[in-house]
Parts: sequence; C-alpha cells; structure tokens
Amino acid sequence: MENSKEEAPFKLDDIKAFEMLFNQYYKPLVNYSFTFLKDSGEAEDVVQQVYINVWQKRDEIDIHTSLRAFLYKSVHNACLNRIKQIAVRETYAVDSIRTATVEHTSDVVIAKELKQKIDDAINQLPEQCGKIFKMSRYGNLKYQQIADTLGISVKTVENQMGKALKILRTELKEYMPLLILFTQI
Amino acid sequence: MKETNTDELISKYLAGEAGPEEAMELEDWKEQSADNLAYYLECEKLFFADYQINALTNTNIQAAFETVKSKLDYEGYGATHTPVFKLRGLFKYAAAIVLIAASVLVFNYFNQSSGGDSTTYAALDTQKKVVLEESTVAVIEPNSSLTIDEGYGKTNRLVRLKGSAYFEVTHSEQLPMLVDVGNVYVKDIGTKFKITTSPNQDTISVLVDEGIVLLYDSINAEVTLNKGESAIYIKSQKKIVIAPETASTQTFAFTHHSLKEVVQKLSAAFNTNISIESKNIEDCRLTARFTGEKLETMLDVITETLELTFTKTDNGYIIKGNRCNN
Repeated sequence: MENSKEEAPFKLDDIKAFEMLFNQYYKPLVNYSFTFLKDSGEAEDVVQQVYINVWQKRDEIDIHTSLRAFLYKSVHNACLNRIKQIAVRETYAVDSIRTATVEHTSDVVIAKELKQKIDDAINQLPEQCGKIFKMSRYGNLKYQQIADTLGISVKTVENQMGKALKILRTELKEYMPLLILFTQI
Repeated sequence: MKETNTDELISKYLAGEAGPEEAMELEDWKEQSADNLAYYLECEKLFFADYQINALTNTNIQAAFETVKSKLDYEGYGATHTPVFKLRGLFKYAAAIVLIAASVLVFNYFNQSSGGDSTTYAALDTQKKVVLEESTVAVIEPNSSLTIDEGYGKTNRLVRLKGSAYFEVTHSEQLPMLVDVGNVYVKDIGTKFKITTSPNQDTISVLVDEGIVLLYDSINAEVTLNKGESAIYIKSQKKIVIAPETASTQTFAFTHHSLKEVVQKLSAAFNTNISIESKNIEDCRLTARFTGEKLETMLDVITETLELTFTKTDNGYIIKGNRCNN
C-alpha cells in the first residue's frame, strides 16, 4: 500500500478535471458549510477558497483518503476557523456576521401565519425537547454547551434534537408545500 | 444509515454539529432515493425557515466556478508543470472512480441537453420546473428526466419520463398529452397528476389530483383514473392495481384529545386494534395534526410526544408507559 513508487500518480492536470471535481461537490459542500455559518455568502466563500487552495497546492497535497473526504474535511476545518474569526470580530464589533444574518431574516418573506405555525409547533414540543431545540436553533449554542447547561449528555442532546425534528416535520407536514414555496424562488 | 438515527443525523447536520464523515454519510443517504432527498429537504426547510435559504438552494455552480477560475493560476500551465495529487494504494483507484463519476454527473448536470431530434430536461438534486407549452407544466423530481421530441406541441405531445414528475396539463382534444414511462403510458384527459417511479423500482405509481387520466401499457392493461384516485402498475407482472383509499390519505386533527380518544379514532380508521396497556395513560392529552402519514409514523410521534412507547402485536399495536409528560 505504501509502495508509492509503483503507483502512477493521479493527475489533476487540467482545468477540466478540476471543473468536474468542482461541479460534483461544490453544492453539497456549500450546504455543509452553511450548516456552520448560517450565511449563504460566507458558506460559498469558504468552499470556493477550499477549492482554490486545492488547486494552488495540487502538487503539494498528499491525499491519503478520497478526494471527497479530503474536501469535506477541508471545508469542516475552514468553517471552524471562520467561526473563530467571526467570534473575534464579534468581540470588537457589534456588526457581526451573525447579527447581519439575523437582520436578514426580515428580508425573508415568510407568511406570518406560517411562522406562527412553526412557533406553535415548537412550543408544543415536549418540554425538554423544545428547550434543547430552541437553545440550538435560536440560541446558537453548540451541543456541548447545551449539554453542560442542562447537565445532560451530548448524546441526549443529539437524541432530543432528532426527536424534535421528527415531531416538527410531522406536525407541519401539511404546511410543507407552503414553506417550500416561501423559501424557494 | 440506520433508520432510527436518521432524524438525529439530519438535525445534527443542520445544527452545524456534523463532522465530515457524518456529512458524507448524510449526502450518501440523500442520494439513495428521491424519498430520502425529499425527507431531508423538508427538514432543511423547517430548520432554516427564517434564514436566507434562497441563495443556498439556488447555488449557481457555473457562476461560482467562474469566480474560482478567475482566481486560479492555470494560465501557462502545461508541459513545464506536472502537478499531481500523490494518492496512495487503493485510493488512487477511488479517486479515478470519483472523477469518472464526476464526468457522468457533469454530463447530467446540464439540465437541458439537446440530442438530434429530442430535448431532455434533467433534475439532478433538486426539483426542476419545466414549462412545456402554454399552461402545461412539469415539475421533475430529483434524479429524474423528461425528454420531448422535435415537433412537441405541433405534431405530438409525447414526453418520455425517467423517474418521477408532477404534471399540470392543459388538455387538447386534438393532441392529448401522453407520458411514456417505459412502455407504460399515462394519457391526460385534462388534468393534474403525478407519476412516481425509478429505474430500480418495480412499480409505477400514478396519482390524479385533478381531472382524469388513462393509464395503460403496450400489452393490455388499462385503467381510467379520476380525481383523487391512484393506481400502481407492477412492471414485472404487467398489471395495474388500483390503490385502495387508505386512511393514510386522511387528515387527523387532535386538539387536547385524550390518548383513549386518539387510539379509538386511529383504530377505526386503520381497521386495526390499538390498545393502551395502562389506564394511567388513557387520559394523556395530545394536540397534533397528521396528514398523509402512515399509522406507525403517527404512533411514533404520539408516543414520543407523550414520552411513551409502542410495540406491534399479533393483531395491532399496544401503547405502553405508566405516565405521560403532561
């Protein structure tokens, strides 16, 4: 396995090959990035920068896993770094990305009634389940932070979040077409 | 992915807690079926309901690539430069497969491709809406494609469907629309209908929302479906089965109903026996609304909400627990 001399190197020797790699994974990587950054512009920036790095360092990078795994790991690390940068920025400036993101919500046209339905459904979640969901979703707390605050295990947080999503999806199933309508062009 | 962990993994991913392996696991699961993808998208919409999801769902890959390309130093690259990814062992083959797969996907990525006499519209990972002609619209489900021949709308209205799509058809007596789903045909008689299938499925399902359609094959199976009716064509048996109207298409709305009342309603609707193990929980109160859900899904949600459990018995289900959370 380690006898690299016998191995023909995999060449990423033209822009077309790079473009294929880009086309295949760009969107899922942006989606993944968005889950950390909650800002589509930031999410795209991070992924684009990862691709640029991959290209620029293509003759230095020694990939031991699949390209896909490499890209996901790179995006993961880049997002965590970006979050740290944002946290630093937030320390010095009120005008942070996250604040901006929240402000953006007013731009998003969501029917008042629909929003109310979502809120109602969240409020009807079992007590602990609802509390955990709100802490994660609206309090932007990490699972570990929630677990520490409530004195429970991270596994319980994971379990309760899954449960919340399942209940909400079922409760709001009737409104899903409306929700999709309001969140897609 | 184990079914029981699906919701946990999705919520973990959406909450920004998933590691790269988990993110890839979820992506793989999404790609396994259109149902999985639809399930995920519903969760995503729900989770990000008040975020700016528009830009996310409408990521313009081509424009993004142009942006990245403009920052690359690929000009002049060639004979003097031999950049390589040094892959080891079997991974080089994995990478090669990735690129082969990429080339296939790139081919598919072009949502519309013209080949001689026909035009194909393909939906890769999100629904694609195609206006076929004035007032006739097809919404193509992910991993599905629709091909129309030259002369569509003039000499023919034949469309060939691979996968699933929803049609909203303006009927024309002279030129009725005909959907070819691989030697099985759905002919509109002024209607809105959905066709669901995939290459590895043995069934083609047709659900009529409005109007009437004729479902038939090239042998002798034929059935007319009216509004609200659905049928399943079984490819291996070359026969059509009219789907019975099951309680799962109904809406169940409970407002502070007792568990006893809920169970009575569901038992009657599904013609099954749902019992409650302990009297202590008969008066647990439930407020919930279910539309088009399977019985087990509803029981799952009900018991999770009330922090109870249920198990399947020989003749139905039994709900267990000593107390509820309300």
